This record gives sequence, C-alpha cells and structure tokens, in this order.
Amino acid sequence: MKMNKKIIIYFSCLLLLFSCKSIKDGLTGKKRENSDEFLVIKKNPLEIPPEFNELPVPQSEKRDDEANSVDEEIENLVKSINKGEKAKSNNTSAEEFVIKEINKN
Amino acid sequence: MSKINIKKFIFYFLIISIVFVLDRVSKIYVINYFENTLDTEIYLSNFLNIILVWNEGIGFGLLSFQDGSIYNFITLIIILINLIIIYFIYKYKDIRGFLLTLVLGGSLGNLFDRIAFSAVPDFIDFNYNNFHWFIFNIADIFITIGVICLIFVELILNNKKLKNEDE
Repeated sequence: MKMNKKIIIYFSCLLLLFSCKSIKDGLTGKKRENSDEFLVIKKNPLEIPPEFNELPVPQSEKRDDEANSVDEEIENLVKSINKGEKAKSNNTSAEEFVIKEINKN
Repeated sequence: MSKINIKKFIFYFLIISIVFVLDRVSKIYVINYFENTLDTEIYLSNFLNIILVWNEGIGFGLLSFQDGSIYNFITLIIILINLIIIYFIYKYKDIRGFLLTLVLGGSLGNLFDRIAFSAVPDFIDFNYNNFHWFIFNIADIFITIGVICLIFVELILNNKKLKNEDE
C-alpha cells in the first residue's frame, strides 16, 4: 500500500515537472478557455439610425438657403422699421391732437 | 557538516549544474536557430526531428489555460515540489539521492523557462509512420530517467525489505 502511494507521488511529480506537448496542440497554439460566460458583456445588436433614409443636402443648395434666409431677415428688419416709423407718426398725431384739445380748453 | 557530506554535496551540485546547463544550452541553441532562420523544423532522420513548440501547461500539454493566475499557481506548486525534492536529496543516503538530483536538475531547467519566458520550449519530436510522440526537451529526458529509475529502485528496495521480513 505504501509502495503504491510512493509510485503515485512519483508519477504526479513527473506530470508536474515534465513539460511535453503534442505536436498538434503545439503547432496550432491550442489553449483551453476557462473564461466565465456570465462575465462577458454582450454587445447590443446593430440598429439602423433614425435619419438613415434622409439624404444629405448638397453644399450649393445649402448656400442658397443661407442667402434666402439672410434676405428674409433683411426684409423682416425693413418691415419692422417701417412699422416703427408708422407707430411714431401715429404717436405724433396723437400728441398734436392732445395739444390741440388742451389749447381749445 | 562532515567531510563525506561536503563531497556528496559537491557531487550532487555538479550533477544538477550539468543537467541544467545541458538543458539551457540546447534550448538557447534551438530558440536562436528558429529565430535566425525561416525554417519551421530541423530534419535529422526519419524518426527524429526538431520542431519548436511552447508549452504553457504541465506534462502532456495539460493545464494549458489562458488565465495567468492558474499558470502562477502551478509554478508555485512546482517550486514547492522542488523544495521537497531538495529535502529528500538531503535525507536519502543511497542511490535515490542521486536519481533525485537528475530530476531536480531537469525540473530547475523547466522552471527557469516557466519564469523567464512564461512557457517551456519543447523541440524533440520522435515520430514513426506519421505517428508523433509528445514533443519534449532535454530536461524532460533527465526527469523521466530519474523518476523511472526511482520507481524501480523503490520496487527493488521493497522486495528486499519483504524478503528480510520473511526470513
């Protein structure tokens, strides 16, 4: 019994100290994977972006749009100035009316 | 330490050194050869070729995992076994001490590679009719000779002991 134990110990030492490898494993670089599958983060599936079907606007069209918007801004500004002047003119007439009424009294 | 013990110590130390140096020289030569040439193998005969493979596990390519912690744990166990072998070399006064020095020399050769390269280079490929035996190195030869002889010596000693008990 003691003898068998010794032989088992010798063989286990041989297995640990020995370093041989099969040619197949050696040339393919095979290694056993021991990664935990539950620790691996799964990647989200690929999705089509929401604006995928919309084509990009060409640069020349973009410039036209910009020019139009500038024109619109100028027009709006002119209109607002005109309105302001009208309001001013209305104010002056009201003032004159009030002065006239005062003078009448 | 007595005079005999010093002689014994020097003798064992020499054996361990010779085995270790033989193993190292052969490994360095083979690694350099394959690094400097584009050859994948050295053809020596129909039965014997030299192919360099790296073993990250233990004997027969076992326990060759990708995890570094397992590798370090195995290396630690091997260091522990080497220390136990040193103890038994000191303890045994017969031929078993000498055989254990062969095992220790080879084991230290493989341990050096495990620490230095994180893998042991194997290069001796015995084959017959396209059947390849496991690729091994010089250190493995000494370890195997040592262990097989140890088993035989143990069996012989056991038989002697049984005979003496019978008488």
